[in-house]
Amino acid sequence: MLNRRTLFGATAAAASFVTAAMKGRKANAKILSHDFEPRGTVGRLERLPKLDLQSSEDFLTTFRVLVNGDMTKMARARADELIIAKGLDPNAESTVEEALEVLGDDPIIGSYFQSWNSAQQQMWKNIRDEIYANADAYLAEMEAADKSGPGTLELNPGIVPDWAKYEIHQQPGGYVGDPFAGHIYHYGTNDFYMGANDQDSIHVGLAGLIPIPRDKQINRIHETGTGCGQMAVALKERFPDAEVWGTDIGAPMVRYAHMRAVDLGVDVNFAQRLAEDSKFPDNHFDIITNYLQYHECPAESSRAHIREAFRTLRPGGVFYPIDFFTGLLVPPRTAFDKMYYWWHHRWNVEVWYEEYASLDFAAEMEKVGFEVSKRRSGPRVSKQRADNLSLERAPYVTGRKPV
Amino acid sequence: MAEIDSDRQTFASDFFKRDSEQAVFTGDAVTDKLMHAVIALGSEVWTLRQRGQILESLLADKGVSHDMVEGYVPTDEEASVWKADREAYVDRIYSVFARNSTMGMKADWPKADEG
Repeated sequence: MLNRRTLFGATAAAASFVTAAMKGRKANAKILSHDFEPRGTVGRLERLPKLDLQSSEDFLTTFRVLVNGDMTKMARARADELIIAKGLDPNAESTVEEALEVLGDDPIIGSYFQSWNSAQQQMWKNIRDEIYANADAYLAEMEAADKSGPGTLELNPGIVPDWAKYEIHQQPGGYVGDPFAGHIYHYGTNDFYMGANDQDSIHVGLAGLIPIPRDKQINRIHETGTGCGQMAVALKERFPDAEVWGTDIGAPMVRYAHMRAVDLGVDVNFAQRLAEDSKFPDNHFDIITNYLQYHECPAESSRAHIREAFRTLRPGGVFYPIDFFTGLLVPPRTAFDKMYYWWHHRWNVEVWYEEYASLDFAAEMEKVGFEVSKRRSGPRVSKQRADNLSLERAPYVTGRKPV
Repeated sequence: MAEIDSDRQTFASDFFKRDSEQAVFTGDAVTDKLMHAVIALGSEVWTLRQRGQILESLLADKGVSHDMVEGYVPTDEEASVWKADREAYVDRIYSVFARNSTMGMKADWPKADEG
């Protein structure tokens, strides 16, 4: 998993204005008939079901801070030494092959990646084991929520394309292959964010950055690749009068997203659908957005979704894709960065990352007819650098469908 | 681990299994496995420390304060038992460091006169 916290450090200030409002959310939500939360909630987050699991996840989160911080600096310094020893410039442009040739067999750099890898695998295993220890209760909770509102749930088994069947981030079963993918993803990504998103603050902050149509008419919003629905819920909170849809190819993800939205009392419609084949009518939405979708998709799927977004947005509607390279960050070019991203692509199962990095998103959007702007659309806040990536620079590319 | 009844619809699909657990990054599989185990032990130790901290907080509510725990003076008998326990603990975990282990996997059996 490429580091998320730095990518969205910029949203922290934007999130702060809604944090207070979120705190009481759970208290106001209705109690589901099969609600299973043995240790209660903190704000909107259901606490992990066992103290020991919470403690081990706290440890692994703190360990991740070390790995992403000082250990990354150590590995980068070691890489520089090795590159200089070869008579090369560590700041020069490099290919993945060149980087691996010089750095790929070094045990110190290897120990850095092994630290990252072990912590990742232990994090997933701990969470999944605990969920499965209470599989009946968790499944009963989802089954009860399937039929509850507010909001609706639509499942379409059998539409999952092969490209979506990988165990992204090494998550067991990936987004489609484990009945509890949503549960596992939610608590696992809380670890990714190193404690910064337990109350959805990053999603809320990003929802706050999204530009609106110039005529200010916002009746329908679509978030594709919604995952466990945190952004879709945040969009409904920002635009309470709008009809909000969250779609994802992972049925277990949208089941969990729906259950969580019901539990929070937020009216969002979730559906298992392909972003590039959304089934919505032409000119339907005022805003279409997504969050970290494209780097987990083949380039052709992303291109098809850009076309679908153009088709389903009404004239004047806004398309706001948020991902690693749709903002001001550019793809890596030096040897250590090349190796870092390649390692996540190969071993942390970011299968489509390299295809994604090859896309010029603004150009792809212009090709289908969007008017594209990179004008800053939200507040810039102080830098919260947690590791080697400087990803905190919003804004993200904005597309408007011509009127 | 609990199994899910086969008659309950889970909406999960088939998926492609990753191979990351077979990877070796340090160049030595044993080192990789030891690192994995050390990180896991760190997690276990922290979990125990956290539980201990919670227990101390709860005990404080019952009149057993943190200072009472910190300042506890064992009896001579307790001190003796704890010392023996600590020595056994160190032996179990660290005595391997005192071994002079130099023989490779394919080393011959020792000759009879070398004992």
